[in-house]
Amino acid sequence: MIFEPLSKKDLEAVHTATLDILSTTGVVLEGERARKALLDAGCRVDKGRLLLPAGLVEDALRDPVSITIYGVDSSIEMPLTEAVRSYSHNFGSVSVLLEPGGQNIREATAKDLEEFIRISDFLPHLDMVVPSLRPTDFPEEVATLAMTICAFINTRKPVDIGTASDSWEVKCLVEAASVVRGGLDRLKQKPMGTISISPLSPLNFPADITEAIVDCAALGLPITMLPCPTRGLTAPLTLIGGLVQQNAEQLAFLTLAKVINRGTPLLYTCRLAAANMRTGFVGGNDPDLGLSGACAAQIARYYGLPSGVYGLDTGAVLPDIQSGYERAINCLPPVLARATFISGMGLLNGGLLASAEQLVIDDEIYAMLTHRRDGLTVNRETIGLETISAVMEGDNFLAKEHTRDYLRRGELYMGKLGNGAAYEEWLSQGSPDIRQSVKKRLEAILAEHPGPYLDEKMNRELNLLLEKAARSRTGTA
Amino acid sequence: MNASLNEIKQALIEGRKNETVQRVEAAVGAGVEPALIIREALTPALYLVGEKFDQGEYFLPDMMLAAEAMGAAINFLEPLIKRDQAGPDRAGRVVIGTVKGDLHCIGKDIVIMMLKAAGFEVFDLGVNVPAAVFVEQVKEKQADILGISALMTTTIQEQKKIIELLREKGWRDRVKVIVGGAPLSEEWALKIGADAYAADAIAGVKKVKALIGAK
Repeated sequence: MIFEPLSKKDLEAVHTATLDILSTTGVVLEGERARKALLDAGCRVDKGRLLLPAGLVEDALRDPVSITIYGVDSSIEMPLTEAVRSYSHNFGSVSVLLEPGGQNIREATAKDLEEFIRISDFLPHLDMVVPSLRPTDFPEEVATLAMTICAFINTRKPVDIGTASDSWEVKCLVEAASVVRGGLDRLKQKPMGTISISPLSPLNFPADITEAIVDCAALGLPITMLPCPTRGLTAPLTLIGGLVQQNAEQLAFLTLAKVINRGTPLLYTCRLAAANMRTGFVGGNDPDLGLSGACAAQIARYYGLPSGVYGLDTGAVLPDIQSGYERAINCLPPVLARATFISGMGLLNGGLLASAEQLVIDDEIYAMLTHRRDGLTVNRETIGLETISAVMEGDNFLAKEHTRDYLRRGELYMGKLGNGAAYEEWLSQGSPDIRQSVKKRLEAILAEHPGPYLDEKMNRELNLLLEKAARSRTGTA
Repeated sequence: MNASLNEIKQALIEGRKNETVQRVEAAVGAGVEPALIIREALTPALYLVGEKFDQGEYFLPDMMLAAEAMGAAINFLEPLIKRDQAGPDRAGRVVIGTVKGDLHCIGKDIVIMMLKAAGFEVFDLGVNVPAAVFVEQVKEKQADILGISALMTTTIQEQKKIIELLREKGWRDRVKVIVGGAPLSEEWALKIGADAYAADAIAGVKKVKALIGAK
């Protein structure tokens, strides 16, 4: 069962409108190498914008490259294009965190990031680790690289290699990932994640961004195409208008990457959100986020591309009731639409706050939402015809193998966090609040979970690389 | 004459740019003083739009459309006004821009629109503005307020750099600095030595007014 909010006719209309935007309105695209490659491929310039002919875009869409990523521990394999389920990951790069148990916020430190990554490594329903925090005690010029290195050291799971804002960052991130994998060739064979690159909306690719795309595509490493349009501010206010513009940004990105290297694996990742029309703030308390993600996942599938969308999102500043209902409302549609990646674990306040408590709660929410993602298997055995008949003859359900066997196979979801006991029982446990339970669990995870994983030698090598990068960046600044 | 001024007001309140300009042109053609049109029709109409916004009846697009209609009408009228009658009183001079390395303009543009609607004279430096240009422009425009915008966690350090440069050039005490951008906090603003921080455009205008009052 896959939730498909758009009809076939709708999808075709989205595609046609997208080609129309690209071929008649065009995109702002700077950067000598990218412009030359696209002009050579048949694009032309009008009013300073690059027009992409429909034929070129459709050709670029042909034969999408299949992507599989691997853990930092390369025995963990995660097929993306052929995925039969959604994968979850943290939201990334937040500088401020909510302290567990209270309402205080503070700037994140390197130690906080390490803890977030260790918790993420432990949580069974978190599939890919994204460095959640951007610590303010990291040297700013190399913060992205330092964050990625921290993830490499502290998890075995697949890792988001980082969001590159220029060629230099691509180079640094690729170097670090190559060290972990034992060389660039091995990295290409078994990438532990993708490099994300984010154009501006509407339809704007600055020179630094196209340079990063060109370099990454030339290497043939998987790229997460990451436009972040905002309905009402940098995209049409209508959801479908936002989806179409976002699609045009994706296909312009894809065309450039494919013109550089036909074999570039690409991930269709969408961050379409809506702004508060009173303040301009993108607050996250928006019931359209889930549907927007489900539609984007469907559009990506239409092109044979894996997708990444928002899901566990909220406007709340605490892991409270608002956070709970908004996460459930927004995460279910993309889970049912089988988006490849679902983001947001540990996020609060529309992505401006990170919370370790929320991260632990999200593991539970995501587990509950995906418990039935494969739907129901219907046959005599699962229905339990013989069991029902036997019970009516005098047996009882608790004493049937059918009950025990299906329980063992995970037929029932057994919650780890919330209350499921009767009032008196809950009272006798000291009337625990969910945040108290979470705090205990957090402490237990950090006390028991091992790490770091990488050996001393590799740690040293990565740290040397970081120092070298810091020197070269300050040198060029 | 009152009827034509009322029509201008109504067109501006509803954010109809072409109609506003047409009605202004017609009024001028009929002999109404340009300065009177600004004082009696355009300014009060824009003030009313601001009130509707404050009361929650109007949203950002309503403000933006009215501000654009106002801008178009002023563009037409300004060359017709004698120097000694020039425009309405200004609430203060603001120089504003987005820092180097950051190409985001929407937040800044909303702030500019709201400041203009509140009667400020605003000089927009655009996006990707080097620290030195901020400082030069503060001097050249004799700004009361400097607004520095940065949207990315990777670019907010530039705000600090600009404030340091202002200090170095001896201009820090002559201008109030307000910072804005989604990844920021009050704590950050204090840390880098800004005078104020605002989470959104509305708060921004309030803070700017307060800073002007304190100058």
